[in-house]
Amino acid sequence: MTSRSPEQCFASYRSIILDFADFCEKLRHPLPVHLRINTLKALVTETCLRLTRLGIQWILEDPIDIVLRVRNGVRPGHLREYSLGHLHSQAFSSVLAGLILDPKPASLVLDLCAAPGSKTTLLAQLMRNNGVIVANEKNPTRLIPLRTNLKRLGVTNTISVCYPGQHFPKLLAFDRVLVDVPCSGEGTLRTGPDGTLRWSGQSGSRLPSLQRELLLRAFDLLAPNGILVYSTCTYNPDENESVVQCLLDNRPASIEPISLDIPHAPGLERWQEITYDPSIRLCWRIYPHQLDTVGFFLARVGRAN
Amino acid sequence: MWLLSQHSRLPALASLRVESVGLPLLRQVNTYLKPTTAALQVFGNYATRNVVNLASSQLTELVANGILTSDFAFSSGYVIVETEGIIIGCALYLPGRLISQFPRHLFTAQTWEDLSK
Repeated sequence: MTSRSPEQCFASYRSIILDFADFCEKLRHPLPVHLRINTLKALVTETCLRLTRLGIQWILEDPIDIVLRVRNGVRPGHLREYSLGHLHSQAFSSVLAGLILDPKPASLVLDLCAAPGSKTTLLAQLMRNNGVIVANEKNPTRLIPLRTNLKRLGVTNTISVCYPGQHFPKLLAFDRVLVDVPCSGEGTLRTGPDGTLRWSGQSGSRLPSLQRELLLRAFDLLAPNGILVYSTCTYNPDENESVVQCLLDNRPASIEPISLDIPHAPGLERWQEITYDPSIRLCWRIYPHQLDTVGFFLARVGRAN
Repeated sequence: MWLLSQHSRLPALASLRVESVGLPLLRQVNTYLKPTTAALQVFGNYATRNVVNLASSQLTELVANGILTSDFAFSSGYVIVETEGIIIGCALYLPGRLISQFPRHLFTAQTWEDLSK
């Protein structure tokens, strides 16, 4: 919780966020509730019908036909469909991270920072429980919610392991790697039900250093012609474009375009004294005034053969 | 006993320090193998027998009391509980009573209330 206004919290981003006043205004409204329909256990049409029968108003988020936006006030954890694993509460932008990774049913996938498993279970859903996902979480206590979600959502293709992500053993190469790093969580700052701004992030100058280490190791684990997605829920360029720039400076990586028709802003060309590689414009910045969800940064990275 | 999707590169993963694999499928209870509720919720709709279809009120009673007193045309053993076309989980049928094997966390107080809707 913070007593500062959105304008005060994000004053340093005034020059990089288009329509900054609209951005701040959106943060004064609660975050919408998004639910992902878990097609490993449920059908989209039947689940929507059941929600209607329960009196819950919903809309499918176009063009993603597995994500519902439900009216505020719905507590997903109290729904029977949630307990049965037919639904999972997940921010729309978080779903995008899995979608742009685009895992194939036969893929070998690494989720380097997996807990609590929202994206891992989405990947399993996209792979229809085929292939294999290695879900890594360095904190043993966070393996518990990860395993709970894997079980609740009926995932059969995942192995969980417990390594510090930056030291994950280089024993094999993965077709797809998702590295959703620990971040300052600025994208989660929204007004809560009590009218105060809430921020569920963490702070610390060590974050960009850790993020660079994680991304470099993630890339080292990527097979030739593989795809890696780097994501954060922060607006901070030091945790986003600067980390991707570090990868480009140190590894044979390329930034790939993201082919989804979703409102977003491009990656930055420069920040303070730093000018970034032009390809970083292909990264996505998700702002809540453009897409009403958690603020996000997404980079789709390729590795040439 | 756990269920894990087959993959040609699984042997290479054996060198990792694995914490868990796949979905729990069966547990040994005394000399019997009990299917897990987690596995039944994924694969139970393929079952052709030993499926008990409960009315919402019966399921509510089973969840609330852990037991439902009723006769069904089964021999004793584990059965799949279904309601309104949804697989709920595993129960043990003994003559005249159905005993819940659902994990305790499956229905919180709130979701249990929803069962009657």
